[in-house]
Amino acid sequence: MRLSLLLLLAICATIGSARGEQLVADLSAHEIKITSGFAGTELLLFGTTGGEGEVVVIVSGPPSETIVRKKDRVSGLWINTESVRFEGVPGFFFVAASREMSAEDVEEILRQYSIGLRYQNIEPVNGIAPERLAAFREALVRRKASHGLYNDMTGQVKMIGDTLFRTTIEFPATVPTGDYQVEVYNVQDGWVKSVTSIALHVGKVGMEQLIFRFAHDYPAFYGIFAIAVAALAGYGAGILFGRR
Amino acid sequence: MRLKVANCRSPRLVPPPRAPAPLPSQTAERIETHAIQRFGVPSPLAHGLQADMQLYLPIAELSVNVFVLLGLGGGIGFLSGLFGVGGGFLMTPALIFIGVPPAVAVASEANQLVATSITGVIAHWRRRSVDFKMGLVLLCGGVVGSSIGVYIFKILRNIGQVDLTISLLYVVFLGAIGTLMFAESLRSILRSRGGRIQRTKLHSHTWLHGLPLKVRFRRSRLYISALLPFSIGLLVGILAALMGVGGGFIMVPAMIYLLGMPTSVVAGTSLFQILFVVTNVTFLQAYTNQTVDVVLALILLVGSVVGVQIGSAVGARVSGAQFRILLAALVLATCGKLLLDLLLEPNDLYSLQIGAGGGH
Repeated sequence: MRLSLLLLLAICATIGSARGEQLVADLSAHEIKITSGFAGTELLLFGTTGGEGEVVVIVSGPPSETIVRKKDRVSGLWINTESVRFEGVPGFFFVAASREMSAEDVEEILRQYSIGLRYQNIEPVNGIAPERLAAFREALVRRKASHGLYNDMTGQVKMIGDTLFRTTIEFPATVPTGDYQVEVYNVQDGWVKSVTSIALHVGKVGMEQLIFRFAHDYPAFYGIFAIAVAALAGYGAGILFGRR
Repeated sequence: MRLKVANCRSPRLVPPPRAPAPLPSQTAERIETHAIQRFGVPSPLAHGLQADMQLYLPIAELSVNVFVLLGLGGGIGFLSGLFGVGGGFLMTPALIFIGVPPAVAVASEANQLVATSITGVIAHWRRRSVDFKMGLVLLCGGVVGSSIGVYIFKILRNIGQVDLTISLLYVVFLGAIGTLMFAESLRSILRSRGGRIQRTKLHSHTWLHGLPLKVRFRRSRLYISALLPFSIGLLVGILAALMGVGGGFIMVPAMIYLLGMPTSVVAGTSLFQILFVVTNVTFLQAYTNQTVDVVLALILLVGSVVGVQIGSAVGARVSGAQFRILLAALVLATCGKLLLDLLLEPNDLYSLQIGAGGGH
């Protein structure tokens, strides 16, 4: 693993120097397979800037509709009272930057390219006053972060020498399935010099995929199947233990 | 686009820890994060061992420890066999506690209860403690009721009040039944100690006995209107679907106190009707919401089929009063915890619901 990484970095370095100032990056795997033993995973992202400048890595998961609900005290009980529905909320979000980048710089890039939960154009569906909306937006980020699905500025890109870089991206067990966008920005003197993107797919495989598809494509048969399995198991146990 | 280069070396560079340290809390969501951190992400040292114990649930879409699920199934199966209750009222909150989305917990628990109640019915059948005629009337009501319940569940989820409804229903029913059970078993313990046998009237006539459609239930030694068990089945069916339980903990007291059935046939008959109610709930949940996780249900039932056998064997031998008082205490504790969660200010006033179905 370590050796192959070094090898890849060496190759990157050669490519970088051969082609001049070109940003090259890749992931240790382009697919995350969710099997029965899946308990979250880590991917290694590495590459070369081909020249000077800093690196920002942004990973964004498949978008989905998300409802944020707020509780209020109603006659002594905490009850959901208000809700805002957001569309196109990325199911997973990760930002990492190299050492020389300040938090403000990264925020600026996120704003300029409208990425991330804060700056992306995720519009609330139902109308709500803008000053109240901010709290709902923050809550969205906070809840996602508490599930390890939103890592804002927590990762760090390590520079090796002047041009090589690497970082690890952590995916929790609850990582949503679908196509991911992995983008690497080369920033120099406050300017984004070049961008490269890498494909990443998260999907269930084998038995997990089979059961999931069965449940969603043939729900009636799946229901009967689930009942039959449980009934057989229960009946079998009853007979088995009854003979004792 | 121009950034201030001078700001690049700001001291805010130091990254915060990987995830914000979760505060100790009672909310399921926070604990979920804890659970994932503790069990989910393998550390390099324990990797080999943990990989074997972890299991990814395809519908719940999360990874859990197999032994936790087996233990839950076994322990709650034991109680189920002992008292003739489904155990769902303990299992569903426990599943939500370990991070399973509430919608999946409710539906998969119904699936698992299919197995548990079949095993239970067989065990009681051998001891001839099932009143099939009474069970049939109850389950007619139960099937209608649980269909209504699944429909109400769907509406409540759309308006975001499903958690509140579940909690309130649990608080009300667990509180009332726990108190009744506690008082009753305390009385019977005191009575047996005192050595006095208090005779109660076998049947007291009320307006309930004046209802039409009177049917003779031989094994229960009752001659009552069929409308009575039907409406009990209906009400329990609605509650069963809403609360993700079989409804035994409501059914058993209702049979004893409302119908006046002899306790010897109560457990078997309630399990018999629960079997059909949970079968109906499983099918409707799978069909309308795709929230039945068959893998989760299978692991739970492996634990519970063993537990329920031991439980019903023990239940046939020991006197119920001491055990009932324990169950009553457990019921009251669950009730108190749920009530506290409603009354205390939550750590985060906001919660997320992802997609059209499920989520928290």
